[in-house]
Amino acid sequence: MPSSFLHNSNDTVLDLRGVNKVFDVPGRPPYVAIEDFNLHLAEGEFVCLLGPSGCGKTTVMNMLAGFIEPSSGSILLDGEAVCRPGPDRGVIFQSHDALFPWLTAQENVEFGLKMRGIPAKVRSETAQRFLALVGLANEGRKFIRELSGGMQQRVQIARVLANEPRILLMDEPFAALDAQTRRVLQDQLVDIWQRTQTTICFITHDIGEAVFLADRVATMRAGPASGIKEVVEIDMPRPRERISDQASVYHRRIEDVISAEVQAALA
Amino acid sequence: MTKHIPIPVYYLFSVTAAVLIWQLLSVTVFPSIFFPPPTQVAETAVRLIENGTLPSHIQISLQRILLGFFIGSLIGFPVGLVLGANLLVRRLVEPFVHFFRFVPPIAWVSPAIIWLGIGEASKVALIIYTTTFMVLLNTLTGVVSIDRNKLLAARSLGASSLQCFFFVVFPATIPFIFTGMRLAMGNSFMTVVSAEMIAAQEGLGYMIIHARLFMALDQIFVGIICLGLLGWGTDTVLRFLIRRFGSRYQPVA
Repeated sequence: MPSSFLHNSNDTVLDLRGVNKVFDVPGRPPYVAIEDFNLHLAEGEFVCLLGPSGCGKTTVMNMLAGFIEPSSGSILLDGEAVCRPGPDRGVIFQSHDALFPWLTAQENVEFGLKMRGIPAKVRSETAQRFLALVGLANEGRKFIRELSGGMQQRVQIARVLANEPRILLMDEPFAALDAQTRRVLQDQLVDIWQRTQTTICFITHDIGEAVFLADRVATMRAGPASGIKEVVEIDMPRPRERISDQASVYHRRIEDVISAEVQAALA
Repeated sequence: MTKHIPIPVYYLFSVTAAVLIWQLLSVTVFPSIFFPPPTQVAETAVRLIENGTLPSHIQISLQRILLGFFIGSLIGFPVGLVLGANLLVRRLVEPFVHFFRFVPPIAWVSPAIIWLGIGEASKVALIIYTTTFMVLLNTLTGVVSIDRNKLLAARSLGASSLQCFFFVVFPATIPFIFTGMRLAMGNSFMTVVSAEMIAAQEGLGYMIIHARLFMALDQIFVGIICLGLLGWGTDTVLRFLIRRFGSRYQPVA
């Protein structure tokens, strides 16, 4: 199991220290979305960020991606401050509207390589390799609208992997899929993760999904001024069962941690 | 059952029925020299074709439309892209866009003739004016309505601002540009006829207004039928070209 081995190494890929995010709203007091957020991800680690809706998960993701800047604190990728979007972080969006419908699946996967001026032949070979990795070897010529929702999300995964990012940032990537497809994609993601040994930061509000996928589950407080509440280590062997005594113990434990936060979010 | 019948058969049926009703009404209920039956209109059309006037009027009008349409599209499309992509330029130009879009081209006929003369330039300029606005406004709408996620994804995949513009903004806007061009084609027909009615020696608009002097309704009907058929024809060609060369951009056509 490469993950458990890498998991113990101290090789930090992503490091968030004392991150704050304050939004200035004209005519109203500033909104403190994130306060003193601390988290680190080790090389090859799979971390799920779990929290009630509206707690600021996506704000954290947008800062990691470099779409917005933290108000204070530091976000370090391999020791260097993140300040703008870049191909070293592969962002996977919840919706397929992030894909380019005027391009085929393969052209979508080639996009990042093309922007960096990689020759067409290399681009095409690389894209085919990553399409095969996500199980879409035969769908490369199809346009995005011709693919199912699950396939579209896999194109997104292949598209960022082709850039060989240091980390995958996934913002509820399977939330819009039906339960059956979601399970298949969760299995495939674990498979891809183990084969590529990429570090993954995965946002979800689904405890079952987090327990099945993650090495560690970082739970967040309800907003405003949200931060990490507690990090739960999921010490279960892989391949994992979705339903097992062990899984339900973790499930219940995380539920206890966040139920108070959910109440607060609804109040 | 209906799906086995080709669409043109429906068209042929309803058009034949309409012409028959027209014929019937014009010889029985409203027999009048001011309501010529289709047979008489057809005779006039044949006469106008044989003496060469109709083909030359058509040619002149079509030439004006196509020239103005192409130049207008070529202006409207890049200007719309820049306006959509650059907020500062947009804020500066917006008042003029909102103002002039409500000024119909026909309102400009007199200044156009005074400034550019009675010849081709004034008519083509008016068609350029109407086409530019249609294409510009639609392009602008397209740029402004791009999914934010597409731009974020492109940036995070390593695209520079310039690359985002050429590889995301531009292709994402193409369907809107196509729509703008089809709308502009319709407006070009209205514009050219208006302009030709007010000041011209040739063209379908001139033919129609000139026939009025002689109460030659048959000739007016010939002109109207030609406009309808030409408009339908150019739109069909445009749609075919969009489907042929632009299918990957999911045209709205």
